[in-house]
This record gives sequence, C-alpha cells and structure tokens, in this order.
Amino acid sequence: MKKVLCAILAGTLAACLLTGCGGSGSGNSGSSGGGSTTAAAGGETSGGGQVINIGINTDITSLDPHNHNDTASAYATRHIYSNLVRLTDDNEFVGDLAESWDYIDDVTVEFTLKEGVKFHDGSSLTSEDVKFSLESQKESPKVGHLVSMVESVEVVDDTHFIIHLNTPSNALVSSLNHSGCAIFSKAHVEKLLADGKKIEDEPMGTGPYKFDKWTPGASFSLIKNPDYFNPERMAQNDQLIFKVIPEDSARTIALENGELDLLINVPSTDAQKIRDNANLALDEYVSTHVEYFCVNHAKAPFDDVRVRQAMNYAINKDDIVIASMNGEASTFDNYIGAAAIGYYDVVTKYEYSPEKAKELLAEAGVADGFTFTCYVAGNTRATTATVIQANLAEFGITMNIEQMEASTFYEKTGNGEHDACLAGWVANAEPDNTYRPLFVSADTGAGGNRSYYKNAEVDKLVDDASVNRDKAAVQKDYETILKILSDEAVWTPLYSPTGMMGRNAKLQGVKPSPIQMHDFYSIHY
Amino acid sequence: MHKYVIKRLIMLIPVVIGVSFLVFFIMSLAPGDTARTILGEDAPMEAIEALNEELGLNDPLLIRYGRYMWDLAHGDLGTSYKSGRSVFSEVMSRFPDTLKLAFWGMIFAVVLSIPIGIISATKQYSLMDSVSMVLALLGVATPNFWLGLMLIIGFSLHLRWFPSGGSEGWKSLVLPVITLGTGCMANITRTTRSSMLEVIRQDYIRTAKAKGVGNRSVIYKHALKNALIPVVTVIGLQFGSLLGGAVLTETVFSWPGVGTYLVNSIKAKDTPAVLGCVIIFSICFSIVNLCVDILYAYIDPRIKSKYK
Repeated sequence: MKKVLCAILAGTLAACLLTGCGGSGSGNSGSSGGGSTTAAAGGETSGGGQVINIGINTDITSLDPHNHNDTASAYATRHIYSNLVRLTDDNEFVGDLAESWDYIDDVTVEFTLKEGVKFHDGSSLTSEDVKFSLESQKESPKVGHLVSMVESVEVVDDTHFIIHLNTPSNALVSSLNHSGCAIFSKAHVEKLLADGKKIEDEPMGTGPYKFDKWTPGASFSLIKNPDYFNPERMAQNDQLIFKVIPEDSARTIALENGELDLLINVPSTDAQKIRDNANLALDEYVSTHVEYFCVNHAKAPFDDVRVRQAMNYAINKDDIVIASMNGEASTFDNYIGAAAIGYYDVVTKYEYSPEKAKELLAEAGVADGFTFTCYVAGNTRATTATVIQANLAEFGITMNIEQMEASTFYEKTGNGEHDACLAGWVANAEPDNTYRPLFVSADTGAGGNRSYYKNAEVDKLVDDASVNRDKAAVQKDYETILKILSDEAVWTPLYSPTGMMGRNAKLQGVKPSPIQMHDFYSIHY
Repeated sequence: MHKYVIKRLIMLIPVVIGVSFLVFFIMSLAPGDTARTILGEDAPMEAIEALNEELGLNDPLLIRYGRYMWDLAHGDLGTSYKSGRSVFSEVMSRFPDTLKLAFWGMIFAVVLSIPIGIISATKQYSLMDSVSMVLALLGVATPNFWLGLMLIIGFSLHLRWFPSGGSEGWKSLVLPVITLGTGCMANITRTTRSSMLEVIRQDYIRTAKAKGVGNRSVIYKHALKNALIPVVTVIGLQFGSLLGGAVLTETVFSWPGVGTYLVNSIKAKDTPAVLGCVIIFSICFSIVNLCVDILYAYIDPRIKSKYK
C-alpha cells in the first residue's frame, strides 16, 4: 500500500513538474522501505572487496597535513600518514611510529622509532624523515604553532633522535599526536618539490591507507595499505569513500537509502529517525564539546560575581537542551568537556533556582533587572538565546539578541564589544589548548577568552600545569582552576551535545572519538 | 557583424574590472578575520598572525587590490587563501559539473516549456491554458531547496529510482536537473505564451490564415519563429542565472560545482576564490548574452541587416 501511495505521489509530482509545477509533497520521509537500491552499499564492490561509504558534511581543504587544520582533511591525512604518538580510547598517549620516549631533562626528549616501518612506496622510515617533517612543520602558518616549543631535532641514528625544546612543555607529546605532526618521507617530498609539485599532489605516508583519489566537492577515497606496520590496527575494510554531502537532511536520507554505510555528525533533528529505523543504528558517545553562555566581565553588572552566579541559577538548561538540541545533549556544569583530558568533576553545580537568582540579584543591587545585548552566530545558538531571554525576563532582565555571521561574531566579541555572547568549545587532546585560550588573561578577546576573565592565580596555575611533569601536581592545578572558575561563575555552562554516528545496523567496529579524530580502520561488515 | 562581436568582447574588460573592484571591496568591508575563519575558533593568535602575514593580508587594501589586478592582467586568478591552490584550476575543476547541470537543466526547461507555452497560447482560456499557467506560477514560486528535498524523499528515499546526491552517472543528474530546470521552465513557458499570443494576432498571421494555410503550419512556420525572439532572450538570461544560481541545487544534491565552491569561499572569506568565481561567471554571462544577440540575427533577418 505504501509503495502504491509513493508511486502515486511520485507520479503526481512528475506530472506537476512536466507542466511547470513545483508540486507538493510530504515532508515525512520515514524509514526506508523495500525496493532496489540505486547505489553500491552494504560494503560491497565490483571487485569483491569491502568498501565503506562515509558521509561527511564538508570537503577536505588539503591533503598536505601542514596545509590544513580542519577535521575533514584530517579524516584523510590521519589515515594516510602516521604520527610519532597516538591517543588511545582511554585517553592515554602511546607510541605510534615511536617505540618509546624518555625525558633526559625538561627540555630534552629522546625518541626511539619502531623498526621495520615502511612508507607506501616501500622505503624505510628513519630519524631523518622525522627531523625533516618536524622542521618543515615549524614553517607552516597553519600547524607550525603546534611545535613552537621544538628548538631542533637531533638525529642520533636511523631509529633514534632527540628533540630539543626551547622551553619546558607538557604539550609536546599531545601535539605530536595532532594530524599536523604527520611524518613524511623526506626523499618523496624532496622529489615532489624538485619536480615542481606539492605534497598534496601525491600524499604518501606510513598509514593504514593509501591515497586513492579526490574529487573536489564530491568525495575522496582511500585504499587499504596491506603492508601497514601495525597488525593490531590493520584496516579491516578495503576502501573508504568519504562522500561530501553538505545538506543535513540529504545526508541522513543517503544513509537511509543505503548510499552511505556510516554517517558522521548526525543532525539532532534526525537522531530519532535513525533510532526508529530497523536497518540502521545510532552510536552515541560523550564528546568534548561544551556550549556556554558567556558574559563580559569587563562590563557592569557582569563584573559582579553575584550577578554571574544569579545567571547560573536563572537559566533553565533542561529547556535549552530540548529547544536547541531536540533533547540530544546533556546539561553541563563544567568548563571542559567530560571526555577531555583535564576534566575533573570538582565544580560547584548551580541547579536551576529562580529563588536563589532573585536573592543574588537583590544583593547585587539589580533586583529590578537591567538590559543587555547578547551576540550569537548560528541558528542553534539563536534558539538557545531565545530560551535564555525568556528565562531572564522573569527577573525583569531584558536580553536583546543580536544574531550575526560567524566572522562578524568573532570580530566583535574579539574586540570586546559584547555584553554577553553564546559560544562553544571542543577540547582537543591537550588540556592547555582549552584552559589557556579560554581563561588566561593574556588571551582575552580574539585569543579565545571572550568572557574577558582575568585572574592572576588562574594564569599561574595554567602556566604551571603546562610545564610541570608531575602528573599529580598537574591534576591538582586543573582541579583548582575548575573550582575557581565555577565559584566565580565565569560562564554559565549550558550543555554538551551528544556525539552521534549513524550507521548501517550490520556495520561493526565503529570507534567514535570524543575529539572527532575518528579512526575508520576497524569498521567492517 | 564581426566588428560588433569584437567590440562586445572588448567590453568584457571593463566588466571584469568593475566586477572585481566591487567584489574585492565588498569582501574587504565584510567583518571578520580571514585567518581566524580558516584556522578556526580555537587557533592561537600566533598562528593567526602568521597566516595573515603569509597571505599578505596585513598590507593596505589598495596595495592588495593592485597586486590582484596585476596578476589578473597576467592571466593569474590568484591562489586560494584556504587551500593554497590556484583558483583558476579549482574553479575549472568544478566548472564542467556546473555547466553540465545548467545545460541539462536548460534542455529540460526548453523542451517542455516551449510546447506548453504554444499550446497555452493557441488554446487561450481553455482548461489546459489555465492549468498550465497556474502550474507555471507555482513553478516560479517553488523554492529550489524545497523542491530538491521533496524529489529526494519521493524518488530516492522511497522509490529508490535515483541517488540522493553525487555526480556519478546519468541517474545522479536527473533530480538536480529537474530541480534546477523547473523554475526556469516556468519562466520560459510564460514568456512563450505571451509572445505567441502577441504574434498570432498580427496581420500577417491573419493573412496566412485567409490564404488557407493550415493551422499547424501557421503556428509552427509563421508565428513561432517571430515569437521566439523574446523567448531566446529569456533563455539566454536564464542560462546565465542557471550557471550562477545553481548554488542551492548543488548544495542539496551534493553536486561538486562552482556554486558550492563559491558559497564555501564566501564563508571562509577567501577573497581570491570568490573573485575568481564571480569573474568567471561574469565572463560566461556576458558571452551567453553575446551569443543570444548573435542568435537574434539568425532568427530575425532585420537585425542582421543592421550590421551589414
């Protein structure tokens, strides 16, 4: 019956179109029914190997790890190249190309490379390749800052080298895990450059996949490297095809009709549709993404901690999660994502309490309310702002919402023109990359600290945590920082969106990464 | 005629200068930091400063514009801020897909709209005329974006006749072509109808009928050729807008064309890429208009005689 109705609908639509009509149609897509599929799916190829089609929302910008700093490009380069270090599922750094490393002193680290690692062209990895890669990375405006602490790389022999730092830094190891710190083949790159080509013209590394092809704006594909050095991380599929589908609904439909096997970043509006579809499965994971309401401490009345605490009590986070995220998020009280390194559950939790908010506002002398403007970029945050606006109106506080383009938002909030704004942060593997830009005095404004929060004690603790090699001391530093931030109600943390991946129900081995650095070698049917 | 064509081609130079000037200054007026947009919210200040320096964005506006125009005069459309690749090669790698979509969208529109327009005009005030005009109105009013999604839901998700996106094989072309061509088809249908209505009331048509020429012959041999002049203009203009206006269709169907590239470049404040797209679109638009003008000469000998 359903098929008949669909056929009638399609026929009517076609008839309308043939006579110049836009036609009408149902917006309800529902679950996919039977019928023949239009695309190769289910992981099969004409050659018999397993092909996994993965849907992403944006194209890669470059296949040169030194020429990009975006997630989509990293999907490609992280699988083509390898790094000295990688992050495990348990947030531990272990050697990838590196067998081991030892701190000789605070600024000298000796590394040993794994033996027998081959590039895709069959040549062997040596310390010279590492030296070449890290030193050329320092010249990159996009990822050079990751190794700004590296003074030089000294080659001892083919498998041993020493990294000399210009300053003590705990960020070295986590940086070496970043896709920008991929290790190139020196001989290959030098030959490319001599031929007038670029690295991205023929990307070649030691990773579990070899580069196959890239059709800009449409897709890129990687094929299995059967000679990959690490048997535990050997690709369990033969080819990965990443299809670029910018439109959210179209991406979900492509998963429903079998054109995709895996969908990264499921839109919250489509999550339930995937759950309800027996042919599909939804993998949910805790991300390091935090959305927050940020007031400008440099402006009255937000320079008063009582007003900021009142905001924390006055805003109903449950309403925001439902209105902005269709319930696909968790309310949040912390200042760094729950799955992030450097997260500790030590903060003061401000439960929704209009009474406490009223008391604090009265104590601060603004019992009758006040007026301010909140800057937002993006529709989801605009929805959040509307809920906050309604919450605050109950206390006589008028919040005007000014929605703007993202680049305008960053410029205006970077200049401190805002009274308040809505922002978000996705922590990466290095906690200093979260604590420093968001809370250190030197980074106020465009540096990332849009609350214009200044606290010398926090500055000192962040500095100490970034260089102190005593893990217990670093943990204590971060715990103290989090307590200070929550006691001073620096932000109103709102929610942490649930990480979601949609997949064909038969697909196995999906390993979502809280920091979006997903590995795809293990997925298979 | 040759002189006219050459003159029109030379006129492209001020067009390109005007367009590049406008776009360059509008892009520079738009707020936002290019390096920040490219590197992301979490990029440290030192990385942003280094990228701004490398891209030459710390130089004064006029110097940057002068540098751009100098390169342009040497046939270089510049390098994309975002990808570091040549804008010309990036646009050209996508242009065939956009052209393919616009071409088939136009074929779809023309093949259907002209017969419908003729029938509507010859059977004015009939049920067929009313229905096709209402539908044409709906066709013009229907947003591409919505129509595309409806087609995907109907023909891709439920019936599974066509893929929901991509650009591989003829099947992937069907839904975007219908989406893109529908609005255009509605416009051409309306123009054909009104033009035909005007022509079939002319004296020479009455004369032809009085001489006993068959109705079909009067319509297709005498009326249609004359009625086509405004239709050809509309087709030319529509083709230009199909080339530049396929942005939404390309986005919905993940079609790897210039439209998507242009939108992404605007978002990234990638001025050379935006300028490259707009300049190439302007040149295409001008050339299509020129072709339309030349085509006039063949449709209407009176126009050709002016250039002799």
